[in-house]
Amino acid sequence: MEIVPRNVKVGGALGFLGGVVCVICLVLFLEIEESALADMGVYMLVAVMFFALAGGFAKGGQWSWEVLLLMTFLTIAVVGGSVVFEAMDLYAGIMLVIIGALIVVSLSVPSSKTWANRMRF
Amino acid sequence: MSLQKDHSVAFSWLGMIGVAVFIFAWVCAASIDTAWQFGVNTLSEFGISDTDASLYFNYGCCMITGALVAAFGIGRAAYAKNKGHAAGGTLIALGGAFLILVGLFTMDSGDVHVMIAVSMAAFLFFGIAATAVGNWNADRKVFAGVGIIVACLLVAMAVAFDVAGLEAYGIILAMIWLLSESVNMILCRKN
Repeated sequence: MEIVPRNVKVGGALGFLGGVVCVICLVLFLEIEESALADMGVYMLVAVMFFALAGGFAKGGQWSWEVLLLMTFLTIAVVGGSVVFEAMDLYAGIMLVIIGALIVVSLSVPSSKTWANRMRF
Repeated sequence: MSLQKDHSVAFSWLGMIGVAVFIFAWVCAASIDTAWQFGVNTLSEFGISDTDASLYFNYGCCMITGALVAAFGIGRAAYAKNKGHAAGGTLIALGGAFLILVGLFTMDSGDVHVMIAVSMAAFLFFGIAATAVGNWNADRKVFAGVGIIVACLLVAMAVAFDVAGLEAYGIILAMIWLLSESVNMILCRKN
């Protein structure tokens, strides 16, 4: 049976955690006003990106290591952009950037690269 | 055996010193000209201040920092591992040269100052983007990621903020990138 490296498991868990945090923030910071739909959309977009990252770490995931890393950077950039546009709360943004950075760290380990670049399905 | 010495570390230190000089001059200028407000006034307003802040800005933030950034860009291009690094280094060097000109042609110069400042920002932005591509191809993925994130944030800020806000936050992002690229150059030197 194939052994999944611990770093990969941690990366997947962090991706899932990021998605869950986004959904919680969506509920916490929801204010019924004109821009509510746009703000909700941003939180949902970031949540989907984090869940997609978690999926990329899964056994059946089809993303190579490069794609996983690029997607993590883009997710962090989207979080930063959302904070710039004030569509996301600053502290939620900082928390999500930290989660993204931890995912990058888990991907930077050589065992993660070896595992992600070989056929996993 | 190659006799050519690798001076990339020296060039990378120029980038770090450039950031330190800019921060020092910026803090000094803001302390002297207390009327200047972060994100409200443009940095170029220091250049035409009645106080000594104009000296700190024109000489410290622009001329000295510009020369150091230009030298860093030349080093990045000289020790390029691929075309992305070479293009990025050249653009950073041009950005540094235009930063020197920003100190020479202050806001009093009118459209000339605006043209030089916009050119400097464009050179630095495309330099960051090109270096990110170079780092990605050179298998320096994490450092490429810093460039990708900084470039995306700069685009977002260009849309969301006014000139004063974009300038202030954009320069902080550019300094963060310059520090990360300097560390990258130190870490990937030839042994």
